Amino acid sequence: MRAQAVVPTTDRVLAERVANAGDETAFRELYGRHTPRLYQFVLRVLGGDEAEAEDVVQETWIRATTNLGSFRWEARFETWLTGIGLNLSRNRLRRSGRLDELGDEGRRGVEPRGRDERIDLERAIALLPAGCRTVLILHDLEGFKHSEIAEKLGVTEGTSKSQLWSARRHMRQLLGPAA
Amino acid sequence: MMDELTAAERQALDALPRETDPGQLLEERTVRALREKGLLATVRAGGVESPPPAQSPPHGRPWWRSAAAIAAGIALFAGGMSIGQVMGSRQTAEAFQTVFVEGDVRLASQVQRTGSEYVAALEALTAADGTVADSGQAVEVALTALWAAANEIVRLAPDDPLAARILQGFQARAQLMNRYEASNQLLVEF
Repeated sequence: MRAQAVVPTTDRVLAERVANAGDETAFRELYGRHTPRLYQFVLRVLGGDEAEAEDVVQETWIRATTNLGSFRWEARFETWLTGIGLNLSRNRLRRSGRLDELGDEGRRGVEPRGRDERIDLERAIALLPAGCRTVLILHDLEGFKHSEIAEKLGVTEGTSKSQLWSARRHMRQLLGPAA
Repeated sequence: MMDELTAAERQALDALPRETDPGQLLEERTVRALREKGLLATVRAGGVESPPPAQSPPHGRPWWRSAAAIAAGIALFAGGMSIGQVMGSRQTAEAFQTVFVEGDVRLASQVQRTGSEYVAALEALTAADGTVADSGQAVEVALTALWAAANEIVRLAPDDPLAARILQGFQARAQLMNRYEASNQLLVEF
């Protein structure tokens, strides 16, 4: 009697099927594995705009699928995908004037809340200025180091650290007792 | 400058969800967009169906079918490319010329180079003996590329008769083949 063990297909095998043969089944498997995390990440970076996050996720998959052949598999597929989503999100924020250059916006502050207005942590993150919000998400939620954040965002480690400091300060303001 | 998170803040951040399902509509929208760009091969309902994704050819598939498919691929694609490049009256050539006129020489030359490499690869495969591993997969990949190229040519020159005939050929082929049902898992026997 023979038994069969089921071994999940790796991302690489699935990606090669997509790149080499346009295999829709393989793509859907990849999509199902990585989209929930990608979507949540992009949604946060964009400040909670669901329609915009959906557009970015779609564009991320198109970019990723187009460039699958050039991915060298030295990093995790998920990390690569997140990087594409991050860049596309930042491009959108920049084009719409919501992303100031990192280094300045952290000092801009956040909108003051009215008396008795209480907000939760998710909302507080969404209300942060886009640049320092991105750093906070990458560092405090996604677990990236400052050196990695600096590389992803094209800034210095010092800028990443100061943006994180600003983000945490703003977040505490938003979550603290209302004025 | 760095003030660390308190334990309560860390706990609150850790409790935030890391995943959210955006819903099935986005998946379908994304798949459709990828199909339209020729990045995915399968059309699930109606219309022209591209070749099934790469996999080992079914047992018992005669070798001459693969050879015929390669030959047809070479003939159709090489014919389309050479006619398009040599005869100025062809609409395909006009479409390529438009790209030149608009100044993006790099794109047009990339199309030429890719087409030449495609034909060269198929010729090399044809020259190899019938025991080449994965030749069935190579054929499927080649046909997928041909299908994608024909689709893009139709987008460039909607009235191009050659590209239309290529797509009609694929449609006829799809009607003869069983629908591909891929397993997305590897089965290991022990």
